[in-house]
Amino acid sequence: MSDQQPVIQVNQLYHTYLRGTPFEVQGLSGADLEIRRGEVVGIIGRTGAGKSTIVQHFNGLIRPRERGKVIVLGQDMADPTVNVRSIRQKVGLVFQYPEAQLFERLVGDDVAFGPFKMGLKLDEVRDRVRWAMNIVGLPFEKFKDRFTFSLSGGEMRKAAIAGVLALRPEILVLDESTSGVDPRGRKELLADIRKLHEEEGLTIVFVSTNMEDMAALVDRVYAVDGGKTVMSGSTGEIFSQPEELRRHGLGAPQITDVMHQLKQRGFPVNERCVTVAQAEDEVWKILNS
Amino acid sequence: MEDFEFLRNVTIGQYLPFHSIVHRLDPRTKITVMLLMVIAITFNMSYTANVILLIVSFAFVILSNVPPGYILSGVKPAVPLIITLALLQLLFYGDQYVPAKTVSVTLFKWGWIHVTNGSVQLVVVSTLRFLQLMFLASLLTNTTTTTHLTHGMEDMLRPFARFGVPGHELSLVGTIALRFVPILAEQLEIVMKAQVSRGADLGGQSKLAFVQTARMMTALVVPLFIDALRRGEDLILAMEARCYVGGQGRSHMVQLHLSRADYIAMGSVLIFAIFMVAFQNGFPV
Amino acid sequence: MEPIIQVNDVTFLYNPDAPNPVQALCDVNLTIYPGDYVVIVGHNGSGKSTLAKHLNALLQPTKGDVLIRGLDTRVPANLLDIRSTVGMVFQVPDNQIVATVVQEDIAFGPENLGVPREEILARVDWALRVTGLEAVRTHAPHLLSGGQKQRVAIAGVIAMKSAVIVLDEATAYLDPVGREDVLRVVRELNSQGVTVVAITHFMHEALDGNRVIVMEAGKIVMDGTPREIFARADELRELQLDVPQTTDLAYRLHQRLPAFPSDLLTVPETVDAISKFAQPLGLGQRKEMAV
Repeated sequence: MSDQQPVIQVNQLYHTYLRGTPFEVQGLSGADLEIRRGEVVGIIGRTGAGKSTIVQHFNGLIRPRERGKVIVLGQDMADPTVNVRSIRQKVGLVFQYPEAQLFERLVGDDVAFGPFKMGLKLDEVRDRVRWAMNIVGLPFEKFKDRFTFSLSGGEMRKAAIAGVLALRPEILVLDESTSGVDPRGRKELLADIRKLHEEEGLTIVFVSTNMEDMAALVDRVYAVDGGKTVMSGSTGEIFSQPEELRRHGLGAPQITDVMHQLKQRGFPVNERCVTVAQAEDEVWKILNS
Repeated sequence: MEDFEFLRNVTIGQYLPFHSIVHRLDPRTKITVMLLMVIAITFNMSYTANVILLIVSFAFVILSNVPPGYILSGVKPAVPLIITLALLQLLFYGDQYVPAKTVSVTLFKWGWIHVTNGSVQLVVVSTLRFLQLMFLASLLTNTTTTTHLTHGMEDMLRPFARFGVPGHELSLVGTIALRFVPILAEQLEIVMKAQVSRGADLGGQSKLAFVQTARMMTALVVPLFIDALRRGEDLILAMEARCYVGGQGRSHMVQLHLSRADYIAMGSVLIFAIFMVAFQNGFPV
Repeated sequence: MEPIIQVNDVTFLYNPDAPNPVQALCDVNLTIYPGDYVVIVGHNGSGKSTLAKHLNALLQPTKGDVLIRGLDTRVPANLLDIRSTVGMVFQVPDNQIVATVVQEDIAFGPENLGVPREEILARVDWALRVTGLEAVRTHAPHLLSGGQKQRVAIAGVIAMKSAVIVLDEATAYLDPVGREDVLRVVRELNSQGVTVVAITHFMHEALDGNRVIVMEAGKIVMDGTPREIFARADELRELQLDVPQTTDLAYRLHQRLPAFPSDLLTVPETVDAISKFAQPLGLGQRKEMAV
């Protein structure tokens, strides 16, 4: 499989929630996206847009049952003979509020859950747990024998993420991992994710409702609304369309509005600013002339 | 078990805002009807009686505009359990029950296994009873908002307060439990998905299945339990912040009125129940 | 004008009898007047949530006192009065809704107070209107969006005719749309005279208030109008707190061009300021400038 093939491909995907019940509702109505190896891609959309539903197709929790195709690492996920266990090791999925999945008495045991389920031997498991815990900022020796539920909220979140990393996935999908986290914790988390990408070469799919997260982390963004892909492009391209973003229930960062309005007033600025620093440089160009 | 959508199976406690005669009945009527039906069901072991009771229970469902398929889908998770129990009863309970007006006829015997007409009847009747109770219970909670239910229960328990029965507190506990059923069901779905994503196998492989299942249960029950406790803690604070101090001195926005339909419903079910109990041994089969 | 909330030299320790009690609040003094919109910001662990819970007597100070309309929160007989004066909306939308029908949950507070039935019906109607929830009044809460759920909680509070509404990180778990829905209702309530105390870690929400309080390690470290507070960007940075992007941009441009105002808050202000400074310098003329 050449590296030119996308590792994940979603074509016109449809999905109905609670099919066959009085509560039936259309979830996805034609979602499209593509992730290539080594990329950091963002999926943004308001609550209920269908983001979680899309990413749960990536590791086979949900299968395409109606229309559309999902190809993960070359495998057609509609095919019932696909080795889902193998996919789940390669595509690690971190859920929203991941700390809610912790159940073992000791932190180390919980992080080891995944590797043990994979059938690895104790030594290999220990190595992976050590690597995963160190990389999320919970030093192995210090935290492995701590009581899981004595940890702070942020520490529990890290332990949960370590639990997924211990599988050594090639692709890491993070579903709203910054939800409910305060600004300081959020910065830390985003920095850790960037580290995972840069040092370990993981392909990252980052789902969020927060535009500032996208600016800080991803190269490319898909915006999802009403169960379909409504915008796609580089972060800068997406940022240059505040009205469109608002229409889809997404907040436009202030910088986006500032640059857009300056452009509308006739100033020759590049609207594709994603950070304040970039905006500063652009504005300075017109003040300094 | 690839399909995780739990909400679809949680039919108890989910109020369905349709319009029907049953929806409009006073909750006290519905509670009374259910109690009367349960009494009638308890006293009747014959095939005929149970078919009648099933038809009557089903009639209530039709009258309430609740899709029977919806209620039946709520039975699905319990089906393996029902089948196991049914088999146990069928195979091993031959000596336990002799149908009225007949003798015990052995249909099959081998070692401990002893199938008689009695055990067959036991199994069939138990299954029918289960369905009747599912219809009645699901009916009660699907057509009555939990606040109406609790008001109804509270009202009916009020005369017993002098004997120390905490009617209001019990009703509130019931309300809150019912309110959080769908929330915890969703949470369970999330926890299951998270554990499966880490490689847990909920489909169950045959070898070592029991050991694995016990461990898997921990992986599901512990997080769910902790989640429920956290929500409880939060809820207590919220209730205190809204001046909840128990049942004393509380007023009620929801007011209950008994109408003609209520009296007719209670009256007819009362007559039916009396008949079923009095005639229990008079049915042919 | 009489203050509606008075916090006097309050210190609070979690587990005061334990060997190492955690000091959540240290000598906090705060006065809030009717009609104020106070936004309290700070990190997790700064004590802001602990302070919030002192305002409706969910917590009592270890030292010092808290007076709500003159009533001391440590006196049990005052509890009902205090809690009906100061209503609170919590972080997790689902965990504060008791009933399974929206309008019945809104009635929960007034019922607890023994309000007569006719009055409750009127209040519930009014609360539904103000929060824009009339269309979902008979719906089950668990099927609502996060923003709707929080508005149900707000409706439940205003149905008690509370003079003060405390939002304890009420927007933390909402998406941008939900957040805006909630804040819109809160602004409307404030314009009708309801005192608002909003605890948040979103700095840009501080722009809504007429007063911003910054907390760190159990103490109030800054107290002023949004403009005053955000002008102190260096201090905020040291506390690892953000400023709105517009203020950050203004500050950076101010560093390069001292004449440029450093205390801009809103997008329109910023765009106007930049336009003003760009015009006279003319466009299309290149000039070397020392940075």
